[in-house]
Amino acid sequence: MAQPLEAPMPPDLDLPDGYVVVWAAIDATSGADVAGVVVSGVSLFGRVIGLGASDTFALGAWFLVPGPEF
Amino acid sequence: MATDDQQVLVTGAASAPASFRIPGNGQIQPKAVFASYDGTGAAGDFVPALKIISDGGETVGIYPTESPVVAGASADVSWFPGVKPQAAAPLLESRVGMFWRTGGQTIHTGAVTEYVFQQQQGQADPNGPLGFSLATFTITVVRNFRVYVDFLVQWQAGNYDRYIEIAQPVGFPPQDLFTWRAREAVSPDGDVQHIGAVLAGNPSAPAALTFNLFQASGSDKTATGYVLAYGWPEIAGQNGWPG
Repeated sequence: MAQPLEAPMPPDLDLPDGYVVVWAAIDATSGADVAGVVVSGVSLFGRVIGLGASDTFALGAWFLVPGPEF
Repeated sequence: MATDDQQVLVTGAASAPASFRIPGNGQIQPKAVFASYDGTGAAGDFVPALKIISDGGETVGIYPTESPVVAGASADVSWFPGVKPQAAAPLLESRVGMFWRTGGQTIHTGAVTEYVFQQQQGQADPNGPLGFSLATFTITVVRNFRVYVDFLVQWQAGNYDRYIEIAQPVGFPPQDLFTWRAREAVSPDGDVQHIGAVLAGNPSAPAALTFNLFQASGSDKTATGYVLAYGWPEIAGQNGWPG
């Protein structure tokens, strides 16, 4: 059974377009990535702000990408 | 009432670090983020962490969980504003040290003699409650902020005046300057003596400590002593001193 964990996040964290969200598994001491961990079931609930020219925020086809994308 | 809140499901599974880029038609202010971490094949214990990277490649923030996940285990992790860090628990780790010698030590009559230990447990622990001199195995320092010391001595049986004492010549703080002593002259009660002392130690400036024996039988006597010391920091923090 998966262990439920909570972590803090800033209350006013804006994620503009082009920003990258990374789910990492890091070593508690060194901060280095720990290999062999798989991430899934990602969801992000938030308030859509600052819409672009399309008037709607693209909600479909968001795929998790292995490795840092930046 | 309509809101602008949206839930976005990010499809797929990927090896950590896994990422996605915010689409190029707006921005979102997250209220909650969730992910499942499968550590079945993890190379070691790990801490789930959310990283935010700007469009310029700069790290905006790293938000780890407070608790690690052991290798082989899995975790469902929720990030949201308002999670308060748990108050740090006071560090109350106790430490134990034991000192002794085999065969006993000769105590000449009429002379206060410091007991010299030959064996000890806890040598590898630099934060053990008592330090000692490697050359003579004489206990020389008190490290932890508070140390309870048991000193037990078995004498050659007989009716003669004898005492054992724990002396802390330089105490910390000064009001803790005491000499603990037990004195007896009658066998068999006096053949085994025991005293306990609570000492103040300062890891930054360890205090000297001596274990003395005295007997006035008129001839040499053999005594075998043991010291068992328990140290415990009373103030949260590294080694309990300072807090």
